Amino acid sequence: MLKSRNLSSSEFICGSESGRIVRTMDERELIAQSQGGDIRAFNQLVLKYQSTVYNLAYRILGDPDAAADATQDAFVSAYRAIERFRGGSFKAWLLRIVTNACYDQLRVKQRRPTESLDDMLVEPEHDANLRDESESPEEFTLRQELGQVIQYGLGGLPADQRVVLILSDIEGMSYEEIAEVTNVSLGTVKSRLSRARSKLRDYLLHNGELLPAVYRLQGGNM
Amino acid sequence: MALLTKDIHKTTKEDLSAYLDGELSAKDAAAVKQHLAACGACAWEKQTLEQTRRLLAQVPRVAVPRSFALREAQVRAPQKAGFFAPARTLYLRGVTAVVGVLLSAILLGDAWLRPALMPAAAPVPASVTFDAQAVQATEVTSMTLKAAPAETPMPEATAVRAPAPSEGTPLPEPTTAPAVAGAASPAVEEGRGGGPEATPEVAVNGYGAREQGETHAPLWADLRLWRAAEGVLGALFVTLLGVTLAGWRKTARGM
Repeated sequence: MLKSRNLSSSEFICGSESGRIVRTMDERELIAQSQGGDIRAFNQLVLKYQSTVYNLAYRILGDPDAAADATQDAFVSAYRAIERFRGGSFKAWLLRIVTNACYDQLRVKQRRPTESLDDMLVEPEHDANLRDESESPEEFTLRQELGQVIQYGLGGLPADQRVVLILSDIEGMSYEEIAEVTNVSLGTVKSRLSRARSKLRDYLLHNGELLPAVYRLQGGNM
Repeated sequence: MALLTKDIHKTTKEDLSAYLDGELSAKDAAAVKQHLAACGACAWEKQTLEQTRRLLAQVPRVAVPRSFALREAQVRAPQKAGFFAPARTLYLRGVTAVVGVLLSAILLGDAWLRPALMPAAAPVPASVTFDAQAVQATEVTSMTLKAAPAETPMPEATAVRAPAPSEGTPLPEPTTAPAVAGAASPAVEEGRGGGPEATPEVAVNGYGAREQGETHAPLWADLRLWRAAEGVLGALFVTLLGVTLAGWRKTARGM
């Protein structure tokens, strides 16, 4: 899993306006301050989670503008609702809000992600993928192509299967975490994930020529 | 045997994802592992699913296009989907005001019209009876006038006969008049007979003669309509006022 993270899951660096390190802060402390109406404390939480939130929205919606809207809406909703957060996984709580914001976007715009992906592919310079430091530019380019094909495949899935697949295989969440985010049972998570993976696998097999050779699925004889 | 094999394939395929994620119980995981060793088709399923899972893990992260840190103004702005959005609040207040004005008009109209039609509470029956009798008398007169053509020949005949005995001229006229009066009196009596019957109905009504079933009574004079309008508008006004005030308080709290 290629994720860049500077801090541990509970640590923060809080800076003054000049950017100097003042002190580390516990996430729970920031949540408590946010619940008291401290918007600057909440913005520390925003800075920590915005990459995860935006990436989830981006993969669900397949469109950078819609993803930005959903991300913004999610953080505004989260700030307004933070008094009702009673503990547990803040990440799961936040991702549930952004998932709902994405469903709202899908409902309002009645947009199928594959259509917006067509628009995105027309402007390759819009690609904002992050390169891992350890990989070469060539490897990075191949991964970008992979990302685009996967996004096409994700767009062909029903929304609820797409969400579960992204949370599991892109965000690396456990079944229990996924159940908490999506507010369904473990059994439902399991069956949705099974169907989603099978469908995406079939898509990648049928459209193998789209994938860089190194990524093409290889199977033995049936 | 074939059926059993099909069930195992189906079950294995359903469990493969969870098996790859380590989310199966030890017993179920062992069953899947055992079957995979013996079944090429299911082994292929597992292999391709595993590759798909690995590919998903290699999908690149995208950079956030900008900071999503919140500004005070964003948070204070009312929610788009909120019931108490400014536009809706204004509309609500406008509707409440209009309903309030209508209700006031109805109540004022009720208060104004009632004394105009009912001069006094106690003497109502007497005065109305008087009016009713006057009405009846007018009707009787019109009835009499209608009957007149039939009796016209008589006065003429009497008048014709009258000039002949010149000394007796005044006499036939008085005879005719009483005859006419006599013809009229039964009608009057009939009218009077109807009068007392009509009186109580008119007195009870207060606004008009609708209870008598007169089709020409105006709609605005119907007491039931007034009461119904007051009831409906009153209930509507109270409800709208409550909702408006609740919205006012919520806006004041800065939500």
